[in-house]
Amino acid sequence: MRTSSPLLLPIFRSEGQGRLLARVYLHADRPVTIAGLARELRLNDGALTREANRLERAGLVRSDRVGRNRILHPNEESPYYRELYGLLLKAYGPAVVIGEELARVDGIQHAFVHGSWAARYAGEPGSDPADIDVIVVGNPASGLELTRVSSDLFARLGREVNIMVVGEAEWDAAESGFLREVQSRPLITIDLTCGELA
Amino acid sequence: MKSREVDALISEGVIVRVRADGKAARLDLTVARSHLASAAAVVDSDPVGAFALAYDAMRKALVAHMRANGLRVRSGVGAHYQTGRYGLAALDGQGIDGALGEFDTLRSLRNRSEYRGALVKEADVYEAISHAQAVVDIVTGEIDG
Repeated sequence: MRTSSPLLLPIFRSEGQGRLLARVYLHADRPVTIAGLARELRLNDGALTREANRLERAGLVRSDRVGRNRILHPNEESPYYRELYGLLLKAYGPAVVIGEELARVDGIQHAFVHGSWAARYAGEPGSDPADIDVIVVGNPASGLELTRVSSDLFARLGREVNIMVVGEAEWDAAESGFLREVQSRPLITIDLTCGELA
Repeated sequence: MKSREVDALISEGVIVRVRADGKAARLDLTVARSHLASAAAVVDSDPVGAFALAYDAMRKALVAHMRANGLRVRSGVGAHYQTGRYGLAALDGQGIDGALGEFDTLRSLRNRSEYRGALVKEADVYEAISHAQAVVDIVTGEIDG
């Protein structure tokens, strides 16, 4: 799987390794076989197996066998688990994917993940929340396009992404109790430049 | 009508057979056309309302098609979603696949527009009217043709 080094977080030996780790760590609630992973990540089957072996030898993942199938899990006993999870979440997690999809909608000034997912980014431990709450600030060009974004995100992330639109003035004024609450809690700024490096 | 795909929905229990009723189907289409005219009339002053009307025009055209063919969606949760599936199954290949494919996106935005923070722009209404008009025209042609 000698894919090129990841642009966003070039500490992994390849983009493929980063995506493999991200899939196993960030979607531990949806385990999948090696063959399934290869299909899902569009990576070569044999190379993915070798990469999985390497990661297992390093103690970053562990595997179960179900019949002839091998299923990878994050190794929560690893001394690197918590920090690696945080790195993968920031580099490959929902905020990145959401930014890629929202970038196609004109008129968005800012976008944030709030709620439980944002709390997880901020380091509050807990299980992955089922839904991801997003606030879009500005005057997006189309509600239908935002609806398509939400649907595409569900397909990519396997989770409902609830997108709420707030005008810029309303966001800045934060007069409602809801917006005051949102702004007082962890907020993750979504990069709308599609992963371009600053 | 693509009977094989529709038969699959019947086997699945999503669609049930009833007595065909062409008169009721034509009434549904008349209502759908009224909705489209009303949507176009209020798009500037009330885009959320106009969008709901355009969506409902498309849905009622699909219901009319079912009525004319002696079918209806089994009532219950998700009836609108299943109506969209019926449209894709029954009217596939008639030049309105794009419109039918957008039914579920329209349904989703229509549902979310009930709540704060959902966005419906005039462009969305015009797009919905365009899709609904295409479906109303094809269904009218099938029933009256």
